Amino acid sequence: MSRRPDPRKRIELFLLGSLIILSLVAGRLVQLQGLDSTTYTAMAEKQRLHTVALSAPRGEIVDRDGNPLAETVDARDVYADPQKVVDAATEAGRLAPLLGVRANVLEPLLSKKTSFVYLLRQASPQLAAKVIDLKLPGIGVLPTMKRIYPAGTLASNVVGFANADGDGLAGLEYSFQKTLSGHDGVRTFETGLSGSPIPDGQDVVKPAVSGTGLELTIQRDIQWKAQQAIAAQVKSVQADSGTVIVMDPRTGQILALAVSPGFDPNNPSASPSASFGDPAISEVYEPGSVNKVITMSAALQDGVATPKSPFVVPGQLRDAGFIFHDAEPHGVERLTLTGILAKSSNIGTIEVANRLGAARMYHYLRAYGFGAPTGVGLPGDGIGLLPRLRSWTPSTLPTAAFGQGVGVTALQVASVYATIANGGIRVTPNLVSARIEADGTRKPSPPPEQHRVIDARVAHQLSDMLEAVTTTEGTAPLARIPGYRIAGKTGTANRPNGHGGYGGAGYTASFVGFAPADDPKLLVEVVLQNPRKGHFGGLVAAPVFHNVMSFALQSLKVPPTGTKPPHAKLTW
Amino acid sequence: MNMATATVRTRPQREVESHRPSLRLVAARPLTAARLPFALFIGAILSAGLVALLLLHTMAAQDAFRLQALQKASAALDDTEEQLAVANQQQEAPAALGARARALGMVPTGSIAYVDLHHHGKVVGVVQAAAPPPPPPAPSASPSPSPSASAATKSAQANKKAAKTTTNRRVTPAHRGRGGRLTP
Repeated sequence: MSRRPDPRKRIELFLLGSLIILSLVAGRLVQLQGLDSTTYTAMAEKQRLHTVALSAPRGEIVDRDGNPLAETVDARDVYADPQKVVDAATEAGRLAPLLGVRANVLEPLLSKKTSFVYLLRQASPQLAAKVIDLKLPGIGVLPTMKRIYPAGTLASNVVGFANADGDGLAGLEYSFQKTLSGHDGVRTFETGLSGSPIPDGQDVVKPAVSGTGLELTIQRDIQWKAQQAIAAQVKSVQADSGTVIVMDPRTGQILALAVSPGFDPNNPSASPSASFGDPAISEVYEPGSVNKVITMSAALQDGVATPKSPFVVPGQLRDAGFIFHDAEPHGVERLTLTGILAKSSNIGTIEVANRLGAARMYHYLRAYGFGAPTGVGLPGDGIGLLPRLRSWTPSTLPTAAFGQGVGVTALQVASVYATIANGGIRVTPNLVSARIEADGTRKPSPPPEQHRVIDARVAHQLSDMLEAVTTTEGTAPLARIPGYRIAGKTGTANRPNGHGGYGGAGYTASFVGFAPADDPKLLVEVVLQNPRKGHFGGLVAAPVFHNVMSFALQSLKVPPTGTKPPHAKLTW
Repeated sequence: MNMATATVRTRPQREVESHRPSLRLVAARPLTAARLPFALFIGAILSAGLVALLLLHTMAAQDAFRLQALQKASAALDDTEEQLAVANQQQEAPAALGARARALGMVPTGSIAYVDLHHHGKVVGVVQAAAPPPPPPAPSASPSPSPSASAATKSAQANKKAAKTTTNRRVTPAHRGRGGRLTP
């Protein structure tokens, strides 16, 4: 037997070598998988994982028939990473015609020392696609949402507008921001080199919670007619501003709330920010003669007069150290309570108020909602200016009786007449009829608060008296609509000049009325501030009432009642 | 193999002890012939599995690409739909409809009347022809103090007279009696 190296030793050596190598490998494995694993996993995930914010669509705002007044559509933000931009001048030149931004505006943006800059926010997806097709280095788009107002200026004073970041800045968009906005979600997923998701890879979605929508009581056709009519009249009588309110007196629902001048919510920056408010609910003015109906209703309810009660109305009246006149000079007149209202006599109204006394007058002003917000739920719901009873001076009663010295909003006045039209029950004016959840569920708003202010009998007497206003003997024959019975009242108030007096500030001309007088379905109020061509409510506001009321009656298919108006006895 | 040799070595000793007839060592049947097809078979299964796995992965990846492409297309179509819907809404907005109607020469009605179908077609309200539209090029001009306003100021008798004398291309005297809004 020849001597050969022991195979056992060889094997042992080999085994030992292997073990050393394997233990090195194992050690490294432990280091990588055990000790440093979290770091490496994180690094790997960072390479693959993408996180995308899922923006929550803002709730829609629709009119009473579901037509959108404000809605959210997909849009794209076009951005640039200036560090990756190769040739700012050329890229600016190619982007300029597409984005509609001048090249000399784009170029400095593209050469900024930053890694992110917006070039155009909320562009349409179609435009964004064209931008992507250019394949310019350093230019990209991000998905986003855009708030649009498909009906344009329609009800913009009510709806308001939201900015590019989804913050409501005016109107309901502002006051219902929390309801409308919803909560953003997030999606985290693994992607390959091309950016497409890896099948079976990690994909975690925290879905966005859509905002809750609002259904309004606004009827868009009537709203449009009201806006058109008031805009035309503001222009033709050269008024500072104008307001039209259309209400259903039975439910307190506001069918139209129109102001002029308004603004375009799709381009709010084109209008002065002062126009973003809603003067119909926030502007405080002295109502003038429309207030006389409160004096009359107080007198009837407290039993100090009846519609036929005789009053001797002199040409002028000295009271509380002031001399009061009527709008037109006259000798001594023998008017009934109805006559005082129909002819809108200040002196007659003061006589009625003196029978009532300040405390009762104040009680009724408050009961009708003066000196308190209307509760409509819009930002800037004004409380008006009603002095507390203990701070009333001797002149407060006679002036408040015919609507001077107290400040109200147009909606407060509309609510007074709605109360009379509704048989003496005041229903809180309301504008949001329901909330629409993201899944389409409709949650109706709680029914509006209501309380009785005057008896139904008194309300009917007042309604009959208000019908006399629209006769040829009254102050507003222009408000009449052939075939319909119309009850209403004119107002022509002096505007305070801001120096404690009334000179030189013009007038507030108004008309508020309801139809059909014996079964009221609609109420329309028209207010014009500082009209320069004519100033009587019966001449400048009543025609707008006629137009809007005619249109609203047709829109809601309200037929005439076919009854005869009562014969009003204005004199004795 | 070690085991086989071990048995071979030990067996004869036991046989001697038990005095049994001696056994011959028979050459084992060659196994190589059976092993090759088996190895091939296993190899085939493995490669088939590998190919299948590859195919499955490719298909999954392809589906992912297709899904992404389709999602993109769907999103683009959604955008188009949204754009068209908005365009539609803008066109059916009251302001747009009003402008179109005026461009067609239509005017607001000056009076309101209904035909009551429950009472043998009784006409409710005041029937009166609409005032002619303002002369061209009025449609684009600012809304004039609406024609219905002036018409309404006249008394009912005057209205009837006006309706007869008003020359309107659209409302002829023959139609006048039924000219109101038709509502059940």
